[in-house]
Amino acid sequence: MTQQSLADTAGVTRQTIIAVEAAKYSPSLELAFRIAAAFKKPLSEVFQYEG
Amino acid sequence: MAHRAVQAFSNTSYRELGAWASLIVTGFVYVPYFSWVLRRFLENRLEAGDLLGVFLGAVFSQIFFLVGIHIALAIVLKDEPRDERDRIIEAKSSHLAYNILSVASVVAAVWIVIGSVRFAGAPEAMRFLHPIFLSQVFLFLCILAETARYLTQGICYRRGS
Repeated sequence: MTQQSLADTAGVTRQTIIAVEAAKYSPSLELAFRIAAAFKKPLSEVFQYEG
Repeated sequence: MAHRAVQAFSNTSYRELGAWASLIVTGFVYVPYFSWVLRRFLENRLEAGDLLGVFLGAVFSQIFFLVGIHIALAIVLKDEPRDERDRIIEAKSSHLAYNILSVASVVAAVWIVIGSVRFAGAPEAMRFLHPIFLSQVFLFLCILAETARYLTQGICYRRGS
């Protein structure tokens, strides 16, 4: 899956996906769920919290 | 190296580049403008007629450059609808700009009052209370707030919000 297709599926810009991947932006819960749904994976497999 | 530059450019959003362009144009137009205003004020030669012409020139220059640059960016880059990150960065930058404008306005008001009291009875007092001088102080505060807004947007996009 390309960044653009993921961005289109999640309803954000490609630059936002780049920022999420680079840990420069923490997505909202809604966006995180949409991204996880795009990968057809549970949320905990896509995002991990490193507090 | 050219490939990396092209990739970096394509990874930059229209809104981020727009913010940086707005910041550069604002500095390019208003640093010379306020330098001229300050120089004329210190020489006690700040007159409405000259000021209006220079001000209109600055405004039209800003509009010309901003419109031209944004049209060029829109042609090269795809302008997409604002998403949540854009809205958060816009809110953060507007919030900061408002705070700067508020604080700077209070500081300017106090400075003007102190200046007029300090030079009470002296010709210098009228300089601090002259409408032309006051108009430029408030214009400077607005430009300062806008500069802060553009700078905050650029930094948030580049380094993360």
